[in-house]
Amino acid sequence: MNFTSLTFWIFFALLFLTYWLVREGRWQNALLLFASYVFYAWLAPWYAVLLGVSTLVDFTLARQMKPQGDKAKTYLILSLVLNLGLLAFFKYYDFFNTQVAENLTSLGLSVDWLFIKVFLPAGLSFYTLKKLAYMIDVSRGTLQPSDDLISFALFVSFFPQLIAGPIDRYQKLMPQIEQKRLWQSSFFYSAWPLLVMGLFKKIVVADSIRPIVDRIFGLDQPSLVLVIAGTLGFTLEILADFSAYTDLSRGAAQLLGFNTSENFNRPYLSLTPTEFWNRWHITLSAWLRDYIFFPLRRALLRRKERLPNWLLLSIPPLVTMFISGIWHGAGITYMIWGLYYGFLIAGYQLLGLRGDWKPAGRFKTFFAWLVMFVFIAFGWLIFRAPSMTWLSDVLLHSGWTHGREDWVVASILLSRTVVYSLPLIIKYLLDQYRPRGFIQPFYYAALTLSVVIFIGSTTSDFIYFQF
Amino acid sequence: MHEFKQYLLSLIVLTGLVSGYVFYRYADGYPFPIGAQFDADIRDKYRHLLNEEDPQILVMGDSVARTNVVSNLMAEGTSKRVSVISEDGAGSALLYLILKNNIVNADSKPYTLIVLFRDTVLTSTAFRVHGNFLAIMDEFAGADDDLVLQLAIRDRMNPLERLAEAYFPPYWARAHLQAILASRILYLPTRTLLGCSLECSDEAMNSVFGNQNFDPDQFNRAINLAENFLYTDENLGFDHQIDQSFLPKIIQLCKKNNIRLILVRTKTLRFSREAPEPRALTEYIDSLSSYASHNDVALIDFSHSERLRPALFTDINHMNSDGKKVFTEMLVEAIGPILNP
Repeated sequence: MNFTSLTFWIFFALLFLTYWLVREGRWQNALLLFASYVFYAWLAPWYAVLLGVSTLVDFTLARQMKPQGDKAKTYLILSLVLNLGLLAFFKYYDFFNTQVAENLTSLGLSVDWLFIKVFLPAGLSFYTLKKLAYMIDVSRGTLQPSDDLISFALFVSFFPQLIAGPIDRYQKLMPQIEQKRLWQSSFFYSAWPLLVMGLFKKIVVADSIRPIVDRIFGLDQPSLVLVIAGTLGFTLEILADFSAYTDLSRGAAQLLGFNTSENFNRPYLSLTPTEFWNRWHITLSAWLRDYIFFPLRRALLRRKERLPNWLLLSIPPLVTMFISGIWHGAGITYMIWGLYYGFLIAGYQLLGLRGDWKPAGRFKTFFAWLVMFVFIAFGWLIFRAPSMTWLSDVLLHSGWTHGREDWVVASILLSRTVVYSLPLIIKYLLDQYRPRGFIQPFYYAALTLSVVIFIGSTTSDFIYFQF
Repeated sequence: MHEFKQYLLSLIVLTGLVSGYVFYRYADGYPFPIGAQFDADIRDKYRHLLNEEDPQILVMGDSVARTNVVSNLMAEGTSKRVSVISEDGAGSALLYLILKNNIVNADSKPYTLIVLFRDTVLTSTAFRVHGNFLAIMDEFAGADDDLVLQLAIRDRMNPLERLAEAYFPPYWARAHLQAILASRILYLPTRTLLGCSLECSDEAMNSVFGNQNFDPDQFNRAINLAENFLYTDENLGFDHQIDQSFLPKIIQLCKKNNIRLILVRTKTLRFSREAPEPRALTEYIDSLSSYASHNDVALIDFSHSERLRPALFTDINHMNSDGKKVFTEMLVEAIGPILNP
């Protein structure tokens, strides 16, 4: 069930009516849990079984933990091994198995079973991080383990966030799950702009840009002009696609009485890589910061007499962003993309340009923005490239253009990118200069009508489903 | 609350304005007809081809018919005149229209019609019937071919879509409105800066994105993705699909016109040791085979042939020049006993 499909909205309407008719909190939670598992099993029933078993294991392990002592550590390690093992298996099996199987076959061993294709269950990467944060916090003693299985299972499987986040923490979601929820009209008034915006960004913007971008990145050796146009197109597509999912997710959660986290805060206006990651996929960045970056930096600071300053500044971002890269997918491009941001963050920090850095003067600010935007776009080029060989071939051996046709196609894609990014720029300007008044509702009405005009019988999946 | 009221009001005003434009520019009546309409003109290029070539055997299919069959070699092997009809990307709806409005209307009808197909194409009624394919279907369809639209498009719409098509002008006219956006805004810089018209832009797109320019792995992935539709639970359910598909009509037309029909399942590299053919597809092919034999139609299945090695393919569906020869030889061998029982 895709958030833009009719099936989903029928499912949601049925749930919505039943949910608000049931006024008892425990029954509401049970209903939401049931709906979340139906939603997930709709994709593949075994996904729901895997989710259920892993949730039960973590619930049990967390309850066995004592706030301090070796036992908590043991249970935490067990949980880490299970969760990360599962994630690594599903995410990287296909990446390694062919090579391993071929090597074993060359040694004369029969390994046909190794050729089985393993599909990554959608959302596994997201709910694994949710559970890991909970387990780490319980082991640290900053969180009391839940003694309500239904509430805990709902926290893990809450369907608006299940497939592609936001990765909300237990501390944010659980109090809302535990409290009594009664219908308020404010839920609807907060939700509708998010739903309109989400549908517009996905159906009109992302799905209109995607076909040409996909084709350019499918070419054997496109010219640089095409690659630049494709990169800019993808830069818009991925923002529209992923933030659309977040908007729809947040809107659906709002209608059920939940306030979930924002994941995007105008990321392409960032001036530094640190600021970019504070604005892009915010809940993932916060997770990486709290559970990898800070602990690593604290560990290094304890040895600061033995380590040079540049190493102290470089290792945490490099390691954190490398992990972010491999979390996004199995493939060299993702690793390089992660390291690329690691180096960028470290480089900016070594130059003294921290996340909150703001240059003096409009020209300098514009220049800093332009430089960062080029870095961001280049990052998306690495991320979207089919392989590093393809990318290096294109960058080193492709000419600027293979003919006039390249200019024509590039200009078609660039016009689309500009035209489809205009509504997002207008939204930013309205939020800045006309947050109240008739123009905002008029803007949303225009977007709604565009959705009607652009809607098709089929919509592609959201990009972040694959992670 | 106040903002939402303003939103609704704006939406009503904007919808009214767009609807007024749609009525003024495009509408003939109200409620609107649901789904596309075919015009009366029928392109008859294949009728002419048959009249010119007078083939005894006609091979028909999508681009695979062109890349997999050497007509001269087949003519030599069978000692019969052979023609090939290949429409890129053709689904069963288009093949049916070509048969109905071109082949059976030709003065020189073939004795044998060989239809090349992949997996569930013959009963996946809604496969490749939208966008450009709808325009191509329109070329081979007449105004009385409404049944094709009914089966391929209207029956697939959900009630909400049908309601919106009939009564909501912006939705009914969405293809026109998108075309306006494309021609007036999206292509404007290309036209102004590069002096390239819409046709010139289309030519550039076709040239840059020609099949030969794609990275083979990427291209195969794209084909796989595009053809996922053939392997949905719905399309793998033979019993459910057959009665609403064009296959019974194709069989009926051939029988009525004394054309011997042979169905040939081609090989695709979509399935491999890593991702074997799903059981539902095997069951589907068993059902198709029983159905064909029940209707006295021959079914030849090359999908698991070891002779069609991966090295003979240019992508997961199409064969290279060596593969084309091997495929044709196999086809000649396989149809021999059917042509000369």
